[in-house]
Amino acid sequence: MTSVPALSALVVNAPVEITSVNASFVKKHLAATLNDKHSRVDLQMRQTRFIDSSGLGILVYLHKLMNARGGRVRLLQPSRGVLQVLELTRMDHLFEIIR
Amino acid sequence: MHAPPSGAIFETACHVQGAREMARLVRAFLERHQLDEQALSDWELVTTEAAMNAVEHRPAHLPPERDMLRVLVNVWPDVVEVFVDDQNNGFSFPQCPQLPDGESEGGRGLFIISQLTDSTHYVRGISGNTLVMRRLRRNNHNVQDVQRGDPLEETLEMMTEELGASYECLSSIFRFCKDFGETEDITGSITRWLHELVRITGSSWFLMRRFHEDENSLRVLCSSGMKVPEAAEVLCLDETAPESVETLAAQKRIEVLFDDCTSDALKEPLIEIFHEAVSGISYPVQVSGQLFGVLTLGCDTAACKLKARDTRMTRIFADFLAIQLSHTMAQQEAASARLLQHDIAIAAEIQRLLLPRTLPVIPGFTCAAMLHAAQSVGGDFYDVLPLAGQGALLVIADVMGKGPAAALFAIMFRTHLHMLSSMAATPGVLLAELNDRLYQDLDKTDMFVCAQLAWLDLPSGSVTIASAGHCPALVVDRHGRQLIEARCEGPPLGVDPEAEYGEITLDETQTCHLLMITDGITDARNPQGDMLGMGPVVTCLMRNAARGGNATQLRESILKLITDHVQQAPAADDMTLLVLSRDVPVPGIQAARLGTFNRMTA
Repeated sequence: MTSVPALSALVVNAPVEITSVNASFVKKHLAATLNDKHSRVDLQMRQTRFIDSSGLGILVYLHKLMNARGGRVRLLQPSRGVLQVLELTRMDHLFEIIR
Repeated sequence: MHAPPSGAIFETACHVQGAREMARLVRAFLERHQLDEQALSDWELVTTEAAMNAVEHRPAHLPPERDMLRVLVNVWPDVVEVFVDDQNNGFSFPQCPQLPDGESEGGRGLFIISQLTDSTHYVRGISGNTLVMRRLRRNNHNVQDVQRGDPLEETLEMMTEELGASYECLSSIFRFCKDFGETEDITGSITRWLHELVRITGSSWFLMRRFHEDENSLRVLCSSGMKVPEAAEVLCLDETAPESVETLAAQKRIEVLFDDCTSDALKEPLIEIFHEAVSGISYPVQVSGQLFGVLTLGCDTAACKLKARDTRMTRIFADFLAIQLSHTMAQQEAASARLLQHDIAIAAEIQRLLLPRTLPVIPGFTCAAMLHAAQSVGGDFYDVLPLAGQGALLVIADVMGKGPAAALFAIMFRTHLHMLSSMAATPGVLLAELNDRLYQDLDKTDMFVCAQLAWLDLPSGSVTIASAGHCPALVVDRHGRQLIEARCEGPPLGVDPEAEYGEITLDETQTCHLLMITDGITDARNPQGDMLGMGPVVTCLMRNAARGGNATQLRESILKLITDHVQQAPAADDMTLLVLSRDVPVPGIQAARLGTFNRMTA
């Protein structure tokens, strides 16, 4: 997982899977990388093949974090599988999704 | 009837990595059955959610053999079912799980499971629970035709069959409970019940082996009637013994599913019994965490194979059997404990009756005694027997062991002692006589008696001591200056049929105070575990003599010494003492006292 600051947006490359196995690590990484200057997080999800409910919990955490700062989160190029899970749990309305 | 399913069981240690791996294995297994990509992704997600739940909510401190994650997959022609076992306390699976509010970081797992499967049931069991998830297959040919949730005929048939079997299982459990409560023939009751299990599951046979801890082996307890050859009668559980389906179940405390392939790989006693390949399940029956035995249920491979439902049924029967056995054993233990209490009460009464109600008055002497019984009844004993016109015989003894057996030998010892005491010439001869009378019975029961006799000869004032394996008598002069530890040769009674017993005779000046004790006093331990030892007892004796104390005062001093040492620690053994103290001589009255004694004992 890598993070690339771009002006006021932070671009984060999401891992291949976001599950209970790595949820804690992803959360810590996001908390450590984000700062007050970032008004937007772009989560690059092109490589993410699998996400479970713990992974969805991380997305909600990120959403709440940025919302509190007046910022927003964009999900970039989520795979079909990830998109289906987002739609199933109606979380596709929570984020701006760039296909 | 529907065709048999293709199934697989995956098992791993219970952690999140394991849970994720389970889901990948399920996906890989389903890939081999040509499920479409959508179904594969859905099952991978659903299994991940269910397995992660099992990991997250498992109780702390499970033993490693139970801290396992197990997933079973069955692929039927039109249905896929996945069972995820857990060791949790169980919960109520909601009928229609709802999504939490959008800001919640958790609580979506059950919703995902319910949305991506056609039916979910959470079955709470005795030793664990199972989440059963089913979903109709939508193959390439009819994917457009089949609507999610439409029950197909075969699925209905399967479910009806399973429901029927469950009812049969339940009613069988009720019958077993009734039977088990009414009979003393436990093995017969188990046999009848396992015959029912064979009928319900449609299997061919059962074999129940009982674990024998003393020889670390499994022995046949009962079976469905097949002949078990001698070579397969006992299965050794040593590490060096050949591994088999049943020994594996016993050693690892896991269920072992086997078929002809598995059997080939093992040196299989089941093949010795059936002379052909078999398939089935071996399941460890554990009562309160201890292995009771192994139940094996099987059928001929050619005829049929056990279905997942049947193996579950076997687990339920075995677990229930364990509960019943546990209750029965607890009842038996309670009955034994009651019996033991009764025995101990009788033994305590015997011990009390054996002791003299009062000690005889010996002219010119004071006598005192004490017996402090430990929690359970021991075999300590003391007595003082007047010897007509001659003096008195002081006796202290300790029968090895506790309870009724020790009390019975104490009775025998006392009877022979009273019979022989007036006939024997000296205490050493008396011990040899007692040994002669008691040896045979003591030897047969691997018991022995430690005893010490002190013969006070009133005319001369001397004391002759003899001992049968007893700790030394302590003798001290009037001023508390000279201590003699009277160590006499001779083994305990019941050890050597030809034993001879040495004697020590001490004159009047040496024997002002005589203290005879059992080792329960010197071995008395304080709360830290330290023994009292002989030293403090000797000091107590010397001080009492120096200040002119009599037998009663010495007994009280030693009692205080013991109480101060042990404090609140419970006594491990009986503590007994017998004291004889010579009165301070008053010139001119010795003859008169002797006369009084003679009249009393005539």
